[in-house]
Amino acid sequence: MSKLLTTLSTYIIIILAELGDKTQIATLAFASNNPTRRWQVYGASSLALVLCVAIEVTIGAALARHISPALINRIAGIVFLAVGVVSLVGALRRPASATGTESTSEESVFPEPPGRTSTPATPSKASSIYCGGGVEAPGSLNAANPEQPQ
Amino acid sequence: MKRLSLDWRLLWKVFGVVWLSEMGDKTQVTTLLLAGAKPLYIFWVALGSAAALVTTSLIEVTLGSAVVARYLKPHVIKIASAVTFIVLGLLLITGVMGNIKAPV
Repeated sequence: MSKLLTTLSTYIIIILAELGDKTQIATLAFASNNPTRRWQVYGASSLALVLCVAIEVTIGAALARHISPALINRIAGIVFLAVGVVSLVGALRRPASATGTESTSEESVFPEPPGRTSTPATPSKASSIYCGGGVEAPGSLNAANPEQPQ
Repeated sequence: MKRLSLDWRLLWKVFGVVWLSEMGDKTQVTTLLLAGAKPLYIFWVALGSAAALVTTSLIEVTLGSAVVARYLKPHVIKIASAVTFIVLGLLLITGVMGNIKAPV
């Protein structure tokens, strides 16, 4: 019973501490930029977070004695700045109408299993639901890739 | 049916940024303290903490792909997130944000 209580209280504390945090802003930015690859973003993000927890509860205390969180935050700051500058330069160099990897992702096909898309009665509504950021007509699903059984 | 291939560059970028961002974060210090306070229940603290982080991550990914990406143009999102990253980076480097002292 105490185990369950510990888990639950930790769960609530960490959720409250984490909401609106810089990690969340970063994940939000990655998912917004790659709506078609949202499960890849989610997987990588979750893996990194679980690895962090694993480090924290095992060698975390010893590690914090040698490397202060302030130092790690500085390094994280440099990485954040680098990612921001690189993507800003990339966004400004490429005009909005041009097709890049992010721009084409809007037209690309979402990897939903066929069983899911077949159930709803209204196809236009269904495609907009499952497509996350997509605003395409259901017919364009086949038009986007004519015959490429890739 | 066309399948989206794994974008390893994106995976590594997300993994690296999230990992660096989370290490040295206030959440990390909280988990550290909780694990230190309950050494017998370290596994259960880890379970609760990991579950919470995975939950918040799912919330953000859903919000980003279903709300932000639907209502904003990709170009606008790209510039806005780039500026956000730059601001966060500057705040972290100058020590305005995340200046946490480990209580160990």
